[in-house]
Amino acid sequence: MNYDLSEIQKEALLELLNIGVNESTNILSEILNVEIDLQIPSIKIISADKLIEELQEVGKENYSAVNMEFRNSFSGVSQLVFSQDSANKLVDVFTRQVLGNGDFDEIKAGALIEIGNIILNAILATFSNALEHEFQFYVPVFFENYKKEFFEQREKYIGEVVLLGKTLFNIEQYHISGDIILYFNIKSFNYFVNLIDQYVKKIS
Amino acid sequence: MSKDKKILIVDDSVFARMAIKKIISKKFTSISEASSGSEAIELLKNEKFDCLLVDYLMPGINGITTIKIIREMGLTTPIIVISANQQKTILDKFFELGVVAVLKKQVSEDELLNAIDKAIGGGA
Amino acid sequence: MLKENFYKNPFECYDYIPIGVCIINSNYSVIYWNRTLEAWTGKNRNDVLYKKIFDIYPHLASPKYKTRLEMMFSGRPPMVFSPMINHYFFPIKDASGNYQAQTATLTALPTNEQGVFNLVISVENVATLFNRVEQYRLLKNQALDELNKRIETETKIKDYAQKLEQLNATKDKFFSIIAHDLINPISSQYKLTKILKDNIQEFSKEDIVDIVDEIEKSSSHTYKLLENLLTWSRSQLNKFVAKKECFPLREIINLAIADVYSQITVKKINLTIDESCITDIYCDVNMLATVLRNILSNAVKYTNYGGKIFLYCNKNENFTELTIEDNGIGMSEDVLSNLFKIDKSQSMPGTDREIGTGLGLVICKEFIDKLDGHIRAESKLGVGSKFIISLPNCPDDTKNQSL
Repeated sequence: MNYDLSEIQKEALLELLNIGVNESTNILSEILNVEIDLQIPSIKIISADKLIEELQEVGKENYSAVNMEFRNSFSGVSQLVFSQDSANKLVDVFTRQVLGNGDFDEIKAGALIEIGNIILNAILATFSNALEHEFQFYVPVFFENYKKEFFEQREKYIGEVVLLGKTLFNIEQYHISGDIILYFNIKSFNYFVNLIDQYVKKIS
Repeated sequence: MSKDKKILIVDDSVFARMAIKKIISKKFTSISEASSGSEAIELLKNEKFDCLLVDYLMPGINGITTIKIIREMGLTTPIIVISANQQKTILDKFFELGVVAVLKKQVSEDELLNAIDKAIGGGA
Repeated sequence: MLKENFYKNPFECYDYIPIGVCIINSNYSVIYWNRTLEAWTGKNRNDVLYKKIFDIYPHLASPKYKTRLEMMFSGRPPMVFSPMINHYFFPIKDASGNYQAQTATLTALPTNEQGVFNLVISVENVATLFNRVEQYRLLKNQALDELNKRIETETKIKDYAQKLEQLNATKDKFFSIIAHDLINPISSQYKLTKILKDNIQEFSKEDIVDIVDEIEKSSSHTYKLLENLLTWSRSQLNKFVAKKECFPLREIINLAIADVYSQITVKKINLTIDESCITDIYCDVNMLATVLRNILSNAVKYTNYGGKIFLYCNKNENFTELTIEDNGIGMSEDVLSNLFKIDKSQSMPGTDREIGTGLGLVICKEFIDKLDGHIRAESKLGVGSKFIISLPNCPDDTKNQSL
């Protein structure tokens, strides 16, 4: 299936994502009191069944994710996915403690939800403003085992499209990679592309 | 007057340059673009500009390093930074380099035009 | 079917949930404060209504919170404040005086005016959960620590057990020597002296000389055994510290030979020393002399009447090797492999029925080890044995000007 966006559409999308992500670093750096470098160098549009292979740190056993759904005229899910190692590292950095690599208890999950929420919130708000579309947003949810709790629950991947942005956090000496994902069904995706198109036309 | 003023936009995103161009083309006709810090520096060796609009996050040398080099070249062209990143440590570095303003992406028409006005010191 | 205006207040249902709910408008003024919050904070809703949230809780004016609050008024997605990063949103103390750990969720609530939002702040008390998780984590770390300590202790215990076994073997050997090897010669001394005492009047001068001779032999033997035993026990107590010096090997060999000289003569053994042994080595003279004495004594013991003992040396860059070779009865593989082991050392009777304690070679090995040297044996049953000792050469700064 071809999910091609034109070059300019891709550029617009990437720009909006980076604006959103940068806004989140403004908040995150205040929490930690250190400079944070968060970038999305590139994006890919793929069919949903290919998602697991395309996640960064492919082959890792466990992924954890923060999920925020949105709806209105079209619906989708925004997600921030990390391998469990990266998720643990991130929580350790933000809580300034070494909590070890044990299972994700509720408290650790809470920290990851806040961090993920700040980032996804900024991205979704940026899209909402730029595309002049008011969404209905849902409260963030945490999946300790992303594959099992989310991915495998979507029985049919037919017609589900994923916008995948590989993300890199640089905080002090830490380099933590994760994936930012926008998950749509095909109808929603087309609506979304339409909005992007209108936005591009408005600007050019 | 403003029509003769030359503006250089430095940003790696085609889209971002397009958006900025759209706003300033209302007042300025001489607009150049560079997609990286190094490209901008090359251009500046041969051409004179009245105002530079510089992004922070770019591949290769970032906005801060670009501005440092420009200053070391002896150029005093007024610079306006347009950056999504507003972290205090980054803003401080920009102001140390003596930029006229740091504007937040996505910049509004009024904000940008006012800032350029201030930078060039000329009227419309 | 509910009548309209059944609820006095559009937010009334929030009074019936165990979550703290506070609603503020875009001026940051409180427009709703639910019953749970009243109970938690002790602030009545009438006291807080229309007050700015910053006046009630000043910490919310800090950029960490204010920036995020500000953002919400433009209709953004919900924002979460987690207990691990912020601990609390509203500072509420529990019965023990600790701040309640909270998760706060901020949601934008549309109003009648387009683009104008109120902010719903919902605060969950996660103190129990938080404390329990902290406790579990503490317990887990403690358990892991203890486990590691136990593993360490077990390893130590295994070490000690091994050392103990060795010490036991040593002690057993000691007692067995005393029990067996010494009892006989002392017993025969006793018998002989008794015979002498009882019969001295009747005995001829030759008889007396004979018996006294026997007693003397037995005593000398006992004395040697006892000496060996003491040497060995002292060495066990680590009372031997090697005093190394650069010394001519030939002289130490001579010292050792002097001791076994009479036996060599009696058995008519041919002892030769090669001139390659005229060289210096680095050792403690007394310790080496004891070793050589033991080995030579064995060589003599296990060589037949008229046999040969040959000493020769081989000097390398760092070591000198001394070989003591005999053409005596030799040893079996079995005996050879257990030669230097304390728990396995036994004594074989010599060709002239001489007896020993088996300690001698154990001592030799220990001494040679202390001298930073090596000792090994080669042997063939019926052909003879070789004992090879290697010792370090003198370091340059200790060399004598001799030779």
